[in-house]
Formats: sequence, C-alpha cells, structure tokens
Amino acid sequence: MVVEKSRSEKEKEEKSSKRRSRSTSSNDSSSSDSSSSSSSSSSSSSSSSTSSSSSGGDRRKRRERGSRSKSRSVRKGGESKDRKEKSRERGRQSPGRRTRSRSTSVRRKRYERSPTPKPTRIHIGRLTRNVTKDHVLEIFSNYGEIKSIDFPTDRYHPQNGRGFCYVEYLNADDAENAMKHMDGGQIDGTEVAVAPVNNPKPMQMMRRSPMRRGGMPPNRNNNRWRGGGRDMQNRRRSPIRRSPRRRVSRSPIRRRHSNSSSSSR
Amino acid sequence: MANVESMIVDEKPKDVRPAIDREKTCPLLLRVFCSSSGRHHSMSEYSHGNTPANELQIYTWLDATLKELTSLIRDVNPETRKKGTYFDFALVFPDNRPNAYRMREIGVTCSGQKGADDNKTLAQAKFQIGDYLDINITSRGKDQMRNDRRDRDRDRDRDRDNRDIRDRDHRDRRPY
Repeated sequence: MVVEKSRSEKEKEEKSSKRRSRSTSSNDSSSSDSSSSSSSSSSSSSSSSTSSSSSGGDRRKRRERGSRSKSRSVRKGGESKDRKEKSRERGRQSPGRRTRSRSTSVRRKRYERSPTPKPTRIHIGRLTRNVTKDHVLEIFSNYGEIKSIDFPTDRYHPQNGRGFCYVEYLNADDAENAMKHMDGGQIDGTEVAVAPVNNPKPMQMMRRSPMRRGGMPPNRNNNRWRGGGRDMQNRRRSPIRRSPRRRVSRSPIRRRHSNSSSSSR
Repeated sequence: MANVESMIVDEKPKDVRPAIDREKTCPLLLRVFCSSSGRHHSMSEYSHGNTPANELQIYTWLDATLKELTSLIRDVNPETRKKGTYFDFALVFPDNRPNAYRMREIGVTCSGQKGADDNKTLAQAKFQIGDYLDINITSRGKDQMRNDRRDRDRDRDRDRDNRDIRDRDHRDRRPY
C-alpha cells in the first residue's frame, strides 16, 4: 500500500530544490554583497511584500519571504519577481514548510520561527517479534543509505524487539521515500506504521531548566519532545535571544511604509 | 411493574475478521518445533532465547487451520503420515517474567480422522505473530501405545488400557 504524497508537497519539493540550486550558484558571485544584503534584507523583503503581497495581515507569508530574502536580494530583480509569484502560490498551500535557504542561518533576525527541518529519522511501529534489527536494515536500506538504527529490545526477553524502532537516514529525501513506500506496508504478515520523527535538538536548549540541571537526559529522551514541545522550549528558555526577534518582526508593518520607496533594487 | 423478560441477543460470530487474501497479504513466519518423544518440549528449552533442536519454518497466514498445518508437517516428516498419528498443538509465547516462556495447548488433530479442532485457525487460537508452535506427535494406535509405554516405564503395564492423559502425568504419580 503506497501512501501518496499530496500534490502540493511534491510541487513544493521540486521548487525548493530548484531554488536551492540557484542560491548556491548565485552565492559565489555575491560574497562581497553579503554584508550589505543583510542590512538591506529587511528593506528588500518589505519591498517585496508590498509589491507582491496583497494581504498585509498574513505575517507568516511575509515572514517566509523575508527569510529567503538574503539569497534573493543577491539575485537580479527579474528572477526574484518570478520567485515571488511562485512563493505566493506556495504560501497559500502550506506556509510552514517552504523556506530552506541555508544562507540565512545567522542573519534571520526578524522571524522567530525557523523552518521545520525535514526529518531524516523515522519511527517504524507494529513490528512483530520475528523482526530483528537486521531485517529492518535490509528492508529500509532499499530507500537510501541508513545512518543509524535504534532498535530497542524487550526488557524481559532481550532477543525480541519491542515492536518499534527508529531509522535515521543520511538525507531527508530518503526518509520521505521510505515513509512513502513503507507506511501501511506489510512486514511478516502485519501492516507496519512508518512516521517521521523530529530530530532531537542539541542538549543546550535544556540547560536553563532547573529540574534538569545536573542530569542531562540522553539524546533518546529528546525524541519524545516533538516539534511543538521544541518550539515551546525555545520560547520559554531563551527569552533573551528570542524576544528581540519578535519585536523586530513586528516592525515590518512600520518599515514597509517608511522604506517602500528605498528599494535597493 | 413492567414485565421484563430475558432476551437472547443475536450472537455475533466469533471470528468477525474479514477473510485474509493470501495473494495480497504477506505471510508470517511460523516457527514450529516438533517433538516425537511423547510429550511437549519443556519450558527450559525455550528460556533465555533458546529454541529446541529441530525447527520447521513455515510461512503461512493467520487463517491457517490446524489441519492445514498438520498436512504441511506430514509432507516434511514421512513417518508421521501413518493413520492414527496424533498431533498435539501448543503455543509457546513469552511470559512477562524475564526469559520465561509459557505454553498453552490449542488443539489436537489426527491423521486419517476428522477432529473437532481441524478447522480451528491460528487466529481463533489467539495466536500472535512471533509465538512458537510446539507439536507433540504421537502415534496412538493401541499396539503402539503398549510398545511406547514399555520403553518408557515398565511398571505401567497394568495401565495398558488407559488413555494418554495419564501417561503424561506419570511423573506426578508413583506407581506403587
């Protein structure tokens, strides 16, 4: 039984891969511009939002365009307009998953929500007792190179598995491929369930919690803190980092009016 | 006071599951351990992840009947094809204590005879994939019974006409 991905996601993927390739090529020519473009990133994004966005109230759309602004500001105007239109379409479908530009890692000042990273780790459930780690390795290596497999075993019968396991691929596309093919598929006579798992964030995010001081839980516990929990952690734990961003992110409304005429392009 | 009568609720058939399409469903691995010693393997043979010596691996589905499994075993073991050979089926599954397994009898078939358990499926026997099947194969014709018992325990000759049930408990009972 093959799970069909939604068409919108497929379109997004194609477009995101195209965008990524373009950004890498243009970055070579624009290394000198990187500093200037960061300062103008806000202005260019605001200008783009005026020109292309009809609804001023949709912060999420604007936010994503802004986060891509760094790579976009480097390119020529014509190209960026094309992409704005495409991004507008995409924004309507599913705003949360578009932006993947890696060049804005440091400079993403205004938008507090980093894009959801594509998962490389998947959870496989409803495995039978006959299925071993080697079986899982054999079956799931069909979809891509596996980085690691976490196969917890039953406490009382160590030769049996617990019925689920985690497989991590080297890249997210393989993980998605595996999910597409194996979710609802059959192993040893039963239907298995394959689902993505958000990668655990590094430990430092838990640092400030008084409860966990002195005993950092191992990586595996972080698996239980799914995406929602992770974002909430960020908002609670590192206000010093986060709130200025929020404040800045509200400013586009004001800046748009002030800078609309001063587009660098 | 209202006249309340008891009513028989229409009983749903126990096996409500839809029929398994054997073409489209992936078969499951069934590990079978046969014992011709007259009794099932002891639990110590299964503990700590070990398994008894002679293993048969069968790929089958949850709607396989005991009769079907019996015929598969007879195909492999020609000596069990004789009429009057009894196959005692038992499931072996892990206990919730460390490294311990439990055994539960699920039925008996006999080659050449129709039995009540012939059409019992694995699903009806509450089989879970990953359980082992322990089959005790005995040929229980009257003459053979006598021969077997003579080999096992000479002192039991006076119980010549007893059924096998008592033979199995012979450890618990002193002959004298």
